[in-house]
Amino acid sequence: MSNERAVGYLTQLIGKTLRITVTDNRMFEGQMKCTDRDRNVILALTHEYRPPSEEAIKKAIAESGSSSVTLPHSSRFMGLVVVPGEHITKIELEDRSLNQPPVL
Amino acid sequence: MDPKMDSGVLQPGETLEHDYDLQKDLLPEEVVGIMDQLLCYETAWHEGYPLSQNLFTSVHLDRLLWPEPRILEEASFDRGKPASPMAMMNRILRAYCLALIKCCDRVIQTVTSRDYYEEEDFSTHTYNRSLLTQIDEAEIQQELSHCWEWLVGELGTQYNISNDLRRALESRLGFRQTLLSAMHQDATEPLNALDPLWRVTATFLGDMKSNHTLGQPVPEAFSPKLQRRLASTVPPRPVVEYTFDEAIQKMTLLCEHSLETIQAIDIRSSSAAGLLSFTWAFASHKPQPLAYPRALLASFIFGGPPEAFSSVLQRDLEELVFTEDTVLDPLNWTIEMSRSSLIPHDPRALIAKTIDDFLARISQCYAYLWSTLCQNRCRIRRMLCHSLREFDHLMADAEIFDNELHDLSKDTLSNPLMTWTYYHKLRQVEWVVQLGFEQEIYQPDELVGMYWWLSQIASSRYTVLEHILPFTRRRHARFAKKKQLREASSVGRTVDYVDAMVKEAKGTALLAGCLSTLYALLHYLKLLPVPERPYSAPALRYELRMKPFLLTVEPPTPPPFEEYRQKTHPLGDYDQPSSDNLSRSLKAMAADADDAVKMAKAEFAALKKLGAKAARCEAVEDAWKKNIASMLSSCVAAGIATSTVKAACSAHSGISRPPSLKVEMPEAWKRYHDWWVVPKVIN
Repeated sequence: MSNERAVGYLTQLIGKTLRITVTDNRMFEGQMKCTDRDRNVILALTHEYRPPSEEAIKKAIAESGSSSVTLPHSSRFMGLVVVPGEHITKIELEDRSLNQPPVL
Repeated sequence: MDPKMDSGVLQPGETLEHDYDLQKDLLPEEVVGIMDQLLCYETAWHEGYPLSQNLFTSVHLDRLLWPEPRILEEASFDRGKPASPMAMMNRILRAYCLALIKCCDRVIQTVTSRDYYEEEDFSTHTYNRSLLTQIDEAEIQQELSHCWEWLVGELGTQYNISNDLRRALESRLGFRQTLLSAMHQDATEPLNALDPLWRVTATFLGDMKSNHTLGQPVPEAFSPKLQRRLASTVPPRPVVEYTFDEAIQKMTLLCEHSLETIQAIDIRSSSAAGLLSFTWAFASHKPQPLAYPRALLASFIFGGPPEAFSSVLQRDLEELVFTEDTVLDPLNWTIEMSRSSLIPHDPRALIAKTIDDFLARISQCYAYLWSTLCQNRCRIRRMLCHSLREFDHLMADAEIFDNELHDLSKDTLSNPLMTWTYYHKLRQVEWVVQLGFEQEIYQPDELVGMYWWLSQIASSRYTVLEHILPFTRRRHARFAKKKQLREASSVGRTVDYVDAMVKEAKGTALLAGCLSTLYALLHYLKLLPVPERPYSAPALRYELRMKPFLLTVEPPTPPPFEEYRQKTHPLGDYDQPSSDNLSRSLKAMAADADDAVKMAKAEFAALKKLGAKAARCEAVEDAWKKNIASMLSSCVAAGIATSTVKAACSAHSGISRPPSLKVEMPEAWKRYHDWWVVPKVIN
């Protein structure tokens, strides 16, 4: 991808909602504000989501007796954050078109 | 990942959740222990630390508050579990916690309803948690009384707890009940109800102190980890710990200060000068009142119907320049302006309009002045610098209004509104300088200049007052002659008040003048250290010190630097005095200072004799007396210093330093009066 196209692609992401997973499996969901060559990303209005710990899963399974239990992610609001590029394992882009009727 | 940069990062093996079991039945000792720890944390919060570093580390509070409960029943320790009857001890703790949260909510509402400074005074951040704002206070009170009744009733006596512990729990529940009720009152409610509430709250604190040892601390019920779940990007910070004794002491003070503020409502409706002296006495408490009592005071000063505060302004004018004057006669406001251009307006209607226009012009500055006085001590000084400039700008407008009044009312003080505005401006300039001494803004070698400036201002102030005094005296004599006793006594009070202020201003001017001369003298004798200042010039330092006053346009403005230097260096440069007969000049200076301090003492003594009532300080008579006594002690100390220097100058001819003299500058807490830095000269 040429530099120009790359910049164009990243520019159209600004303001979109991203979900970024980091090395300890936490996820940050917020509006992308900017990024740099080291893949550091600044997100605004961010929520942090943390998967339940293994112990909590084990405990829930033991309590319910079945192997398929649903446990919620614990979440909190964080606001404006910088996610360091070196810890990012996955970046997902929210696709509004699936949830919302297209604008006519 | 860096734990210092990321509040969510967990150390290897660390879990997000605490491992404290909230459903466990608590022992009464443990409940007392947790309650007392919560009180310590509440104190830390009142002192200004954010909730994350104190109360929000409590596992119990966390469970009650998150997820946000919509109804009171949802705020329980066993959320999401099938409802089972709660153990009574847990229920008591829950009631206590609920009331505590509601108190915090109330405190935040009171503080944020007034001017405050988040970074200096108080942290109102709740990390996106609602502190039971939606839940009615009455429901929580009901829960508290239910627990209380259980405790003192038959069921409680069957429960296996000792009487001492029962009393300990009772006093803690009682404390919460009264504190919550006291904090939920406001200025609109009958105040006789409020007064006993704060008193009782303080007595409960005393009980709690005596039975604190019965409690058993439960450190597991508090975890700094909980900070990770708050809506904040700040990594967990250390928890702020206060000892229980400290907490009791500070909370008792909070109750006492809150109790004191209630008086403001009565004083507000009787005298503006009285309210001012009360507010100053309140702000001068040591330790300084916390953000909550200060906000409470502000809400009593400004609260109630809007006309309540504007009447303070009107009363202020009345007390100084318009006592029993036709200008403020309520009748003026009942007369309509004429609607026809052929019929001239009634002068009384015009007076009312002029006064209304003036009040409208000034009301914002006046309100700013009062809200300034409800701030923390350092803020007061800084905000007064702005306020005095507002009053300075007002003077030109006041003159225009005065000209209008002059044509309308013959029997009125000349330039009443300008006099009033000017007087208020001068007081504020004085306060700024004196708070500077109190807060040790000035270096020892700057005291010559600052006391000189203070004496200039205070002299201007008594000149203004002496302009008011003869007119008021004449009016008093006239009423007395006509046997109009009510009017005569009211004008008589103003005469006394102005007289007291004259004495106070004169005493201030003289003592300041004495200290300025004394410090200049000590410089000539080379007894005061002057720090090396290779990177600054005296003229620039002068400009910096006088900055708040240089921007004013009306006199007295600080003189140009050369003139100032000449005034503060009467015999030329401190290092090379240029007097023909130096020792005689020094002696003369010492004699001047000595005379000034004697006269200052006489003025303050006369003021003391006039009494607190004359100075409109009867509401804070004790504080007033103490203040005068400290000023008199400062005079005595200054007198000793001047006479020591005088004696040394007489004994020693020639410019060489009198060998036996030594000067000690008193530390701020060792002074007789915060506003008077009197050096100690030892022979």
